[in-house]
Amino acid sequence: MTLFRQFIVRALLRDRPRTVVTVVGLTLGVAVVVAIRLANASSIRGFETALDVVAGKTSLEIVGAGVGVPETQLRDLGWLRDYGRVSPVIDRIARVRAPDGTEHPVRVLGVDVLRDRPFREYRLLRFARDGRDPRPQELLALLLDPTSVVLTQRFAGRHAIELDTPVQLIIGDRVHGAVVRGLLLDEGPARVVDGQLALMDIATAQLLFDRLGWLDRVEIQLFDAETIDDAEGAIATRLPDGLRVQRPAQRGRQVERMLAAFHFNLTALSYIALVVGLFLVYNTVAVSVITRRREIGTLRALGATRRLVRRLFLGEAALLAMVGAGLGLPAGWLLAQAAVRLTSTTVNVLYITSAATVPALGAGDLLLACAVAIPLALAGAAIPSAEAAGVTPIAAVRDVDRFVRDRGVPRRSAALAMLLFGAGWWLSTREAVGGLPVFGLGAALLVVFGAAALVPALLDLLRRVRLPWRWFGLEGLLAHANLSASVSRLAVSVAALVVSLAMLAAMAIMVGSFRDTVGYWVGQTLQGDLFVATADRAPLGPAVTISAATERRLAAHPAVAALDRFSHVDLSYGPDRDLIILGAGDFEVRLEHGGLLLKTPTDGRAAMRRAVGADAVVVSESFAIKHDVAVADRIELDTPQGARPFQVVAVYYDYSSDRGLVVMDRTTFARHYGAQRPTGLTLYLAPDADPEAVREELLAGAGPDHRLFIRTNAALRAEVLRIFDATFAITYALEAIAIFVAIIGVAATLVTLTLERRRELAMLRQLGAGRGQIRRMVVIEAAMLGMLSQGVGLPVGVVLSLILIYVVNVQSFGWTIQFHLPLGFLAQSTLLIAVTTALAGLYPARIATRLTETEGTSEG
Amino acid sequence: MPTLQAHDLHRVYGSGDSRVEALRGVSLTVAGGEFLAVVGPSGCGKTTLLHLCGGMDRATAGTIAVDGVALGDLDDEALTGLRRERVGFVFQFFNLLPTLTLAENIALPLLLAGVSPAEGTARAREGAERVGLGHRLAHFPAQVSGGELQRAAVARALIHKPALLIADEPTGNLDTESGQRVLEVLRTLHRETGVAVLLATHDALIAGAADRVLRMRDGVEVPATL
Ligand SMILES: Nc1ncnc2c1ncn2[C@@H]1O[C@H](COP(=O)(O)OP(=O)(O)OP(=O)(O)O)[C@@H](O)[C@H]1O
Ligand SMILES: [Mg+2]
Repeated sequence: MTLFRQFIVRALLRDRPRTVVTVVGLTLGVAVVVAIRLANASSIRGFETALDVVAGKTSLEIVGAGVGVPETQLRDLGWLRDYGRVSPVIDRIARVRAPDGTEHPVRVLGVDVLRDRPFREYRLLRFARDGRDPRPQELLALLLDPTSVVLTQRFAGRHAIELDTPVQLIIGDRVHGAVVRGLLLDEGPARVVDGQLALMDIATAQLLFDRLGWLDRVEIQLFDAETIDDAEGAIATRLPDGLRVQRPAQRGRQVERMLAAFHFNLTALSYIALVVGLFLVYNTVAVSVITRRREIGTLRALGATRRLVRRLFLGEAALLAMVGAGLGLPAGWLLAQAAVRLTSTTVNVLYITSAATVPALGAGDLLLACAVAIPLALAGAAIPSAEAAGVTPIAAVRDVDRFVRDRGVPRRSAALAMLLFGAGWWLSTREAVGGLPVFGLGAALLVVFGAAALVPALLDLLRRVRLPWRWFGLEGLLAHANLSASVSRLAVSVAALVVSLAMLAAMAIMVGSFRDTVGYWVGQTLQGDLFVATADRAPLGPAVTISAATERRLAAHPAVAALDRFSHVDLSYGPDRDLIILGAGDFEVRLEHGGLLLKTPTDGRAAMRRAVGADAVVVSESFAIKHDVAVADRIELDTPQGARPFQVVAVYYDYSSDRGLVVMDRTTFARHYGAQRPTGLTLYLAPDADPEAVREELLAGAGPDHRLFIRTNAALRAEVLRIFDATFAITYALEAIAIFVAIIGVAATLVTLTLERRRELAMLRQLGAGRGQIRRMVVIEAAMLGMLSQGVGLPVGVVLSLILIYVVNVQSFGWTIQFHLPLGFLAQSTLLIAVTTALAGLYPARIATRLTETEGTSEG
Repeated sequence: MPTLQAHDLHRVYGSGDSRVEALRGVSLTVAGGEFLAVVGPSGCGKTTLLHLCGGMDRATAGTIAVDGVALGDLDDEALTGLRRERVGFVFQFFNLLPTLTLAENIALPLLLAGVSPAEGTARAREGAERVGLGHRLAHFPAQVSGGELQRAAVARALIHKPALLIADEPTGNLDTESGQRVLEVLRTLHRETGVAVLLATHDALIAGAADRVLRMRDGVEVPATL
């Protein structure tokens, strides 16, 4: 331990640049992993807590197919009361407009107070003051009035809403004036969802949410909770077609599965940061082993065992890791805040809305951070530590064995690289595992490691190449000679830079291609002139409808030539009951006015025309891939009348959701699921109409009790791309950080090399080299390394992007992305890398000139 | 029993074109408390011989015994243990660890042998004083002169009371005056502790300080003509 402090810790403190870089790299790696985990956990947790709250003491629930449970069927379900108490529920999202004009989403629970009383605890402020709970009659009296709503104390307090004052509820396009008749105490369920909960009478909720005649589900509280398995089985057999019994937790699992691919990819992305951390640890330990060979040899000569030497260097890595983990944890928590915001804009998370908060850090997280960082660091240090242990005592005196060793490395590294590339290729041809691109990402990882393994071979090649460097004059020649002499010292830091540059290139190509594809898709698909929605964002979610009045008013505008109504509901599909989106559109209007980018068949229009009114559907590409469905197949969809077969007539491109969409004509939908109000409208205007002017007129005509969002075609396109860019912003940020760290890593290595060469440099100065020449020489060294890294990183990045686009993306989202090289971006980044690495060379260059200033050649 | 006994040592480096026979059958004996100097022109194999005798390297052929223990029979671990306990080294380039102070450098062999840091420090101070470095204990190697470094190295080599001290051109990298002081220290300590010394040098003056001289050329011992 004393030796560890003297030999390792002091050396770390002495070689500060490299140590700092490594710690920063590890901190970042840990931070990103922790952040993504916290963010993922918070979104799932957000859902689970919301579920708990709403589920209350519910043991089982009856749900319908997509549209819910028809109220008429409730009467035939009287026998359910043999098993337990029964309570019908409406469960939706609305917005509350606070007195200050801001709007906040709340989960609205519409309940039959008299029946619901045993299910949930309602502790109201009003009665708590008297020290008691409300009696059902009192609650009933409170809620019976259709303008009554109960909010939570916490929510009201936050937005300065007073008891018995009016608030506005925004539901779909309607603005509903309500009065706050009660405030739920800030305890229990109301607290867990951060207070974003509202209660109202079920009849009022049905009316406001366009759900007359429908229930979202029927909850059952069993008399004997022990018998839940039996009861579930018994109820299942007695239920009529179209209804299912399930446990509340099942909804949670569905959502979890829905998010699985997204979370998986985020997690994988976070491991990229770790890979960079791994290389940095390798780099730090390897450089210290290489530069301290003589010292290690001395230790060995004085009687230090191989085991002790190995432990010293593994300890170095572990120490760095612990510091990294300690710093990474709080940094990760901060990052998670940002990531949560990202997740909630990216995923169509039905019930999460804003209930997702980042959980506080606990001991478990520290454990996780260490569990991630320490093995990683030890893995990174394994090879250099083994090398350290292999140093013979002779190394204290002679350098010979190093040069003997070096010779085989390039050839072996090239062979290893080929092996890794080959294995990567093989992995990339494997199928997804449970909908997750495990092998695809494995392939990407192998390619990354392959690129790293290739570096020593390439540096060796650089050593042999002579000519081009002459362009840089004498300094260039010297720089080249210096680099050539330090191949093994440089290999690792260059490899780290290559890896991060390759990943940046891959990311840029993938995102650029994706953006292009989406742009094209938007251009082809968005043919309407005006798009009407009920919220400014998240066009998908629990269906919020547009009222008949609004629809009539819009259709009546003289400039509106046609109107395409679209509605959607969530539907469970397949043996795993995956949540898919069932949509309904006006196929006739769509056919006439355009706007569907078909993958198959080529003559999709004819197919769609045949689908009008028939039991036929078009499905999105992601649905087709995930559920292995092709044109002409028959799929079974749940309907209120039970499962029904539908023929797939076309597969179309869609990038709006990775959940998979099944779309049918409105008339077909109405026949099976009953008439539903649309959730969105597309307006096609007369040829000479000005969309902007019409939009203004339509908005102006809305009146105080309606609120709409209308976008012009151009605005919607811009919005789609804006969301797209925002989604990938964090990706770029991560990459930028990784590259920054990698470049500093190269600079730090150059510092070490410079320090090592001080005598040589001083001699150069004595031979008459100017300060400027020395500086130029070091800067050129740095720039050469940068260019070499980019030279390897770019092609590897292209390969990586191919894997991301054609394997990972298809396996996890089921999207076709057209490959496209963003040449401009790549050229720019290349230039930027050249400049930054050269700039990074300034620091070691300064050290080099300073050293030669203050020290002569005499120093031993 | 002699402290060091070597018989018919051979050491071959490399193979094929780059094959070098550094030692071609050298035998020697160093009795307990004896001071043997090895002299010979550059490249004759002095360093190689010393490495073999100190257990830093292995002979291609021949046998070596330190304190009666045959080195050829030891595995790496045992050989390391032998270096740690029975042998002290002084190198031409001092080989102090730059991140350790002189005192810590001197205490290093004790630390490696598992002696507590406190006791190690105390004994290191004592050792440093004996080589005239009592005032340099907290300095790092970069902060002191070459002669002082080498005296510290001598102190380090003897701190754990080895049976055999191996010194490879200990003054080769010093000016005459510093070299003399190092030699003085070495001789004094040799006398006081009774450690057997095996020292390689170019310098006739230094060889003159030894009890006995072994002359080498091209990897073999040559008779003391001249
Ligand atoms: N690791 C090695 N690989 C190949 N040849 C070596 C190696 N070590 C030493 N030699 C060669 O073995 C021979 C003896 O070397 P050695 O260092 O023992 O000589 P020396 O007498 O100590 O010389 P000097 O007085 O210059 O220190 C030399 O020819 C040298 O080049
Ligand atoms: Mg020698």
